[in-house]
Amino acid sequence: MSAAVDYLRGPWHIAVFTWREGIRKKTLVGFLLLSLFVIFGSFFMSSFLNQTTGSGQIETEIDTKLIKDICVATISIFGMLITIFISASVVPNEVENKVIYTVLSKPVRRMQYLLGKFVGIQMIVLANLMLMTLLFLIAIYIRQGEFPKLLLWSALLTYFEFLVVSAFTFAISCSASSAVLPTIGGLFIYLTGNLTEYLKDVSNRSEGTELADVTIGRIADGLYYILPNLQKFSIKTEILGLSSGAPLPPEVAEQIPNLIAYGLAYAVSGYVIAYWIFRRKEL
Amino acid sequence: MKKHPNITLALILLLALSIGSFQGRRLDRLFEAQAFLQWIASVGTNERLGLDGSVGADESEKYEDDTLYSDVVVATEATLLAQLGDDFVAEEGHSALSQALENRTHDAAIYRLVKSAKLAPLRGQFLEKLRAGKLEYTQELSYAAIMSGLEGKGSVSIFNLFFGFRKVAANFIWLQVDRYWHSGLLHRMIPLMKTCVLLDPNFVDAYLLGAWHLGYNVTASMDYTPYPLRTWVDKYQDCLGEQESYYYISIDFLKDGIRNNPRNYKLYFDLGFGMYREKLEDTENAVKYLTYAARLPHERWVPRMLYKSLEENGEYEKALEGWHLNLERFPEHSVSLRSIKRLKGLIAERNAGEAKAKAKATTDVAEREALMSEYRAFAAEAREIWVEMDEPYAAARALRLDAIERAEKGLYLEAVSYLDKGRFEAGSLFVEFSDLIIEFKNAGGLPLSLSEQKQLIREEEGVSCVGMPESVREERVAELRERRKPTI
Repeated sequence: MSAAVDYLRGPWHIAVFTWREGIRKKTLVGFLLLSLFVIFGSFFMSSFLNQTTGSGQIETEIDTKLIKDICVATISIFGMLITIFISASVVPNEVENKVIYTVLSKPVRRMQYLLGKFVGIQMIVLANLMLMTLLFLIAIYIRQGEFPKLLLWSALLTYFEFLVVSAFTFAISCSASSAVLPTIGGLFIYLTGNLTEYLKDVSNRSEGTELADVTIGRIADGLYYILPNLQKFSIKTEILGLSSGAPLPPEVAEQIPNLIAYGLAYAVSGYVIAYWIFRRKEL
Repeated sequence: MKKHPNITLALILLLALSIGSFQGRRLDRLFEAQAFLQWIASVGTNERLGLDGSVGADESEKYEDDTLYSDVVVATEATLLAQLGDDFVAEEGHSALSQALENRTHDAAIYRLVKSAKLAPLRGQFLEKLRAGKLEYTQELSYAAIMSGLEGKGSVSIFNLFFGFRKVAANFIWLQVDRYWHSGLLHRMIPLMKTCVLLDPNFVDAYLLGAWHLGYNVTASMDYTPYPLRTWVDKYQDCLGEQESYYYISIDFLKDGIRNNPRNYKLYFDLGFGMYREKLEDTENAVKYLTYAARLPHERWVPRMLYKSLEENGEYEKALEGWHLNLERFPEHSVSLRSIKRLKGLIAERNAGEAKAKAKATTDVAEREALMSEYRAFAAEAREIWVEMDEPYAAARALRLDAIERAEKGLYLEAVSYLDKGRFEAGSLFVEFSDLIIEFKNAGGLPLSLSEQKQLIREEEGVSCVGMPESVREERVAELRERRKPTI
């Protein structure tokens, strides 16, 4: 037990250091402020709706829906940008600043160093997500007068989506010497992760008898099942449509733990790739 | 690990990817079950409410929803009834499945059944038909349906183009619809409204406001189409003019909304009250949809509108029962108190009329006398209620009783004058009293006014329109004859 605690003490210090360094980054603060501004601004979006008739104002819930949808989109977009940016920059910056040489000259293994960095990144991502979600919940509470508990499930799934992108971006960042390439790579992962469904489409199209068709179809099919599909997390937007007091429908409730396991499996994959690259890196 | 680090890492990576892949497949199966459940809910709602399909008769042949649904009902009936227990009683004419889907109580049991191995072959058939485009009642852009391959072979899912932000896209389209509405560009709103609900099938307010625009605002500037110039439409079993076409577009829009959101009372309410009662004056359908609205969690005005519609549909006892329930929930509610009195008066009037009709029909003198005294007792009861109520509607009803009394004595001119006063006392009775005036004038040989003559012509013409089948015309003629049956 104490061996495990000793082993994790190093990564924990590195994680705390990464967190302290991360929250000072001006770009991250900029993204966060911008997202908070948009979430706050969504409160006034309903002013674009002029739902009046000759006999007065029409009572609808469109404005609440506008706030919910815009807030979730904002959290997803800015949260993803923050995730990609921080995951792409942590290791390359340390290489660039040569801090990594000092750290690795101490009795810290590369595995511990990388674990600390990854945990630190997740702490930053989680803190940002929690801040944005809190403001979102406050906006909905002011509008509806009740605490939208179901939205917490939506936020949880959003985090696991970030976790997958973060792990693979982190893996790319371990092979790069600057943050530019991993940032582009992270954006690419996010885009392709949302388009994995096309591989299924390719597989469906290639049902001919030609060997090339069959081969391409099988490769596409194989890739479809191996690569992460971020669209699977879109169930979070379905949760938004449920009324606050209602319980989670059984079909959605069953998907949540499976999505968490799905996210964790790919996060572990990303982390293993990151370590594989990093352990061979010449430092 | 130390000896063969690469192999160890490769194995760990392979294991993690395998778990991810396994979870991915598992999630796909869950999405398929969800899509299957959504489809069952849509078709089940369709069965329970007897909704018309959203496509024309020529197109409906290519869809196989009903066949597959019947198989699902047969396969699930016994298991479902066993799972639901003895408390669950299925209504006659409806499957247990469609009825269990009405509210959330039985969701878990239905979901267990839907993803069970027993239904695996039917689930497979569902996916096959879904991909072949043979199912009509699918939430076309719902996530589960897309993940299950609704987009079919060789096509690209529009869903992916929005990276999961299609609800936001739907919102911005709605802002444009709102802009068009305020610019008066109503014709431009319709395709955008449809796009909006295609992107977000759970956007209930889009269905509600869209249907309101179609049924009320678009038709407001249209001219009335005289009945003979209207065209018979088989799908709706009605003669449609320009305004009526839009009423039915609005109804179809709401029915699509109900199929996609079967547990939202607002859609049923707007369909029953907003369209069937207010626009088409179809009280039977109004009662049907308002009943479903009242069964779901609702606002307090929903049952009240149901009771009003029940009264208009002639179901006085049910309406009376409803108002009593409402009074229990909201003691001293003035509308309930007034409605209870009014309904008691109407029931007494109806009983009086029935007793008189029976008296007229019988040849037995003693029985006739008994029935006539029954009639007088009911009429006196009704009169007492109307006098006690002391309001324009009640005063008009009392005048009607006076008019009938005069007409029975052959004093038709007096009877007509009572009714004439009565129809201006209470506007809601204008049509009923005008019909009675025509009847009394005809019975007394009094000349009809120009507007009354026109009314009769309109009624004659109202039985047919362009393309109406002969059988329907005959039915309508019979209905008209029934309506013109003498009151006295």
